[in-house]
Order: sequence, then C-alpha cells, then structure tokens
Amino acid sequence: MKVEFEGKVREVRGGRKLIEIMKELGVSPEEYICVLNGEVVTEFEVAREGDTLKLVRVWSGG
Amino acid sequence: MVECSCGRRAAVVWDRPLCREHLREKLFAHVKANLDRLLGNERIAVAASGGKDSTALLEIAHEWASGRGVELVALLVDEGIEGYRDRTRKFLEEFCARRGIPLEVVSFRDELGEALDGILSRERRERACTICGTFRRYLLNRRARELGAGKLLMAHNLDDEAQTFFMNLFSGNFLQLTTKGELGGIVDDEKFVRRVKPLLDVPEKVLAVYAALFHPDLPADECPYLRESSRFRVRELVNELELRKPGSKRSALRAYLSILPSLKSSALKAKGRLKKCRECGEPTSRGLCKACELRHQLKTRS
Ligand code: SF4
Ligand SMILES: [Zn+2]
Ligand SMILES: [Zn+2]
Repeated sequence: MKVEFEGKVREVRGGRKLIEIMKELGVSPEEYICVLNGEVVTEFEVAREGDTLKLVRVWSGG
Repeated sequence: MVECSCGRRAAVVWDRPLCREHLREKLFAHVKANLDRLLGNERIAVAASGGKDSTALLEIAHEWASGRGVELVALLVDEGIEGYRDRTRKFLEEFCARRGIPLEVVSFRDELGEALDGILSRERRERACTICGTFRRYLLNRRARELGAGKLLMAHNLDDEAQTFFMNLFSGNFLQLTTKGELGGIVDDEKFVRRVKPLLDVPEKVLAVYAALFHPDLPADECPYLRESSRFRVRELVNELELRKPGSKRSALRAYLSILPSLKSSALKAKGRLKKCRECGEPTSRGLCKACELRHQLKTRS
C-alpha cells in the first residue's frame, strides 16, 4: 500500500494498524493526522493492501 | 474499525472515539460550557489569526455570543510575516465577512513603523517569538481596551499550555511566568483587559482534525520563524512524553493550574502596584513597559 507524507510517496506493507506503519516511518500520531483513502480516521484503523494513507502534519499556530 | 458511539467510523479519539458530527458536537458543547463559566455579558474580543485554533474559537464564540446578545469583535494582529500571516489574514477576512463578524486589524507596520520581517532582518532569528509575542500582547491588550472589550479570548490549547509549563520548568523560574508579559492574566488593573482561554483543555490534535474536516481551506502554512523557537523544541519533547506516558499534557495543565494562585500572590508581592509606562502610558510594573523597552533596543522606526 502507499503512504504519502512530507511530499513523498512510499510503498509499505498493509494488513496492520496505521499506528504500526507510523512507527515504522518514525511519524508520531501526536503530530500527524491519518487520512485513509480520503477519509480522516484514527491511527487505530487497520489498512489493507491497495489502500492509500496520507499523513497530514498537525501544524501549530493557532 | 474504530467506531463512534453512533456506529460511524471515528475520526479522532478525544476521551472516546468520535465521528465527524460528534466531534463537532462535543467541541462546541465543551467550549460553550467553558465560555459560560468564563464570561458574563460584557463585550468580548477574540484574538484571531486565521489559524486553526483561533478560527474554531471564533466560530464557537460567535455562535455562543449571538445566542446571548453578547457583542463580539475579532481582533487580528498582523505582524508582517510574508508567505504566512498575509495568507491567514486573507482567510480570516473572508471567514469574518461570510459570517458577519466584525474584524479589527492592528499591524506592526502601522503601530511600530515596521513589519516583523523587517525587524528580524537585523536580529537573530531565535529572538523572533520573543519580539513578536511582546508586541502582539501589547497591541492586543491596547486595542481590546480601546474597543471596550471586557475580556480578551485567547486560543491557547492544551498543548500550548503544557509546553508553557515545561518551558518555565526548564528555565528554572516559575515566577517568570508571571512577568513575561503574562501580567494581564495575573494582576487586576483597569488598563489590562482580562485574558481568558476557552480552549485551555482541548488537545491540539482534536483542533487539527476539526480544522481538516470543517475548514479544509484553512492555510496550512507554518510561521517561517517557528522552527528556531525554543517552544518548537519543547513541543517535540512534550509530544514524545505524551506518547510514552499518555495523559502527560493534562497532568502538566493540572500542575500549572494548581500553582497559579500562589504564583499570582508572589507576583503581586514582588511587583507591588502597577505604574504607567512613562512613554506610552500602558500599565507596567516598571518605569518603561516591555514593548517600549524592546522598541528602543530594536530601534524600530517609530
Ligand atoms: S511562531 Fe513566533 S514569530 Fe511566528 S507568529 Fe508565532 S510568535 Fe510570531
Ligand atoms: Zn458519532
Ligand atoms: Zn510603554
């Protein structure tokens, strides 16, 4: 499955929780929002092969 | 699938999993309850920047105020940060125009004779947030008072407060918290408009998910000076801490709130009565206020 973040696209293994994928990429769920196939979801969702995950940074500045 | 109690897929976990609609419902109810507790019927000014936190605060406070006949004005300080504030300012102007929210803009250029970008071309970039924050607080207070606001609403969230707590802890001087421009929240003076923080206990991630879902056109730019600030490093640290020990941000907020009363009384003892700044007449604990002192030091053009 594909992961888009910080302007790059990477291929990772699916079939596991998004938080596992984030750990592998060194991305903190405190600092990124998960958008799975276009829908905002929690990091506890399970991704399937063929899914697309976009990680959107929680920008500060209120 | 992680489900909201209504059976829909959750977008965020905030104490419990919440779908898009129930996130909005909880956020509005939570912040309105805070507003009920913090505010009376006086006119209010909302410090707004066109960023995610203050936009949510403005939206909720506007709905709250309209329902009660409370007068509200949005107040933006335009520091003059190219590629950042110009974009969020444009967003906020359109946001307020669409909803009929009166918007007041005060700019560094008009008030100090120079934009922050200009000032910083002669200064170390690490000083950006100190300079920016000192003048912003000064201008917000002054303009809010001129507008006749009884309270000034600030959009600080749980993460901001936890960061402030740790920054003061690491600096080794908690009393600084009460002197670094925070007097407005500490000392009662007719020239200080009391600052209140209705988002105080709302996690930043919740506000970010809300913004992504309900205000997707919000500019997602970050201030170009942010990454050099000490707050940014503490932000990373606090986020790391929260991951390892969930609940750390809330504990920091609780600790901060529990020592605030004694900080206030020590600050009052240390500062005594407030004087008027000999140059601008704004309230200060010394002869010259922080903003005037900084203005001299930086030799801004006014
Ligand atoms: S990050 Fe610093 S310089 Fe940028 S707007 Fe915030 S306080 Fe000002
Ligand atoms: Zn729901
Ligand atoms: Zn002064």
